[in-house]
Amino acid sequence: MRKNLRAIIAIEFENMVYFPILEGIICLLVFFCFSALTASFAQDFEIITGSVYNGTTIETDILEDIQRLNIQQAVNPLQALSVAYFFFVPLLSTLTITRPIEDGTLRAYLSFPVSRSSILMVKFLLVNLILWVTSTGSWIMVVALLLPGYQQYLSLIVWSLVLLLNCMVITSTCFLISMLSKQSGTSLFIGLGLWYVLTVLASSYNTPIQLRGLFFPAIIVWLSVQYGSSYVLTGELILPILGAIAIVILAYSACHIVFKKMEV
Amino acid sequence: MRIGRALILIGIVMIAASLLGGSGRGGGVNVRYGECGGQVFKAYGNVVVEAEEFYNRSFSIYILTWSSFQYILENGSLEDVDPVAIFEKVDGSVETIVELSGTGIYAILFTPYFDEIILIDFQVIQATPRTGILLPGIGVVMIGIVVVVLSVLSKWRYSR
Repeated sequence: MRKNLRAIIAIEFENMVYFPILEGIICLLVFFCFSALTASFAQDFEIITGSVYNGTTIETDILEDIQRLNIQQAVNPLQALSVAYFFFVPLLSTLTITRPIEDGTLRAYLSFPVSRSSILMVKFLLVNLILWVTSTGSWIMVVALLLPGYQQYLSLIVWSLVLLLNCMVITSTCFLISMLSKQSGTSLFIGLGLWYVLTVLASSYNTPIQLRGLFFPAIIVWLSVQYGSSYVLTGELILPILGAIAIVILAYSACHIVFKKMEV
Repeated sequence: MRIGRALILIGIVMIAASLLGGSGRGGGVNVRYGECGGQVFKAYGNVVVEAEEFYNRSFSIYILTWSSFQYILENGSLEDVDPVAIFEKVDGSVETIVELSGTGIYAILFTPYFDEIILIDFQVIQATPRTGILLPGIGVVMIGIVVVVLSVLSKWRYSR
């Protein structure tokens, strides 16, 4: 059983990350990170010499602003990456769910003495792990390259867990769409369309923050950094994250039920 | 082989990212003689500086690294500092490229040349390619090419 599961993981991995799919994903993620992080920032000052010389005050103020702006810059790619997921997740879920149905690979998997739940779990974890590892890696690379004294921003890697949650929300719903449609073209079209609409909704300031954070948890992190860490402790951050976890559990459970009953 | 190809692609992406048009940052300063005003900005390579005095009065521009700027703040004087670029007695307006050594925080300072008040409208625009990204990108492409060549050579030797 374990040997068969390992074989399925190996086949799935090779199917998903063949050249140039993985490289293409990494390149686009790196590009998204660069364009999000290189937005320049500037801070005005005025030095008044003489009896009211204010150099030390200016230095303290500018240092505080630079620190805040640097953290904002380090977190900016998070938002860009979560937008990038809206392209990659429908693509990868199509590759991993509907394509095996169309080319008969899934029928071969099902002939292995491995439960359907395990196959689904392998597919779900692989898509999320690949996207999370590549995006976090791209993010770290860009931060290390462009932010001087980047070591102090490494603690922000914790925020990449929110990115993983973001990815899981989209993956679970796209998996469900793929299983219901069973066709690559249809699931890709519906997946991209749905997430395009949700991105537009999430980027609109008229949408309540809880709803934005529900489908787009990374935006909450970005806002918490922009408006101060006290924001983290409020319900505005916790509730959307709990809601997003609930969406993942519900959508994954629905996938589980559909996959178990699905005729191949 | 695959790592090499991936490095080449990532390097190309970095080179492409270095060509992204940078947004300009700027503003206005109103400075008296003996004082100075300006902006602290982040750059990823060379920048284009555009400045215009509202009444065509003469002024000087100093571009400094963060450490030089800190020295000025602590001592309140422009003496004993080594600016990255100086433009003294600019009559009315200027538009020029300033070569910066790489990614970092810099400061641009404006001060009147004569005993008068200056009113300046300025912009600091990131010049492309951004050398702070371009050079590492070229480096990554080079490493990728070396890895690909080495793997092709080892395959060729193995096949013989």
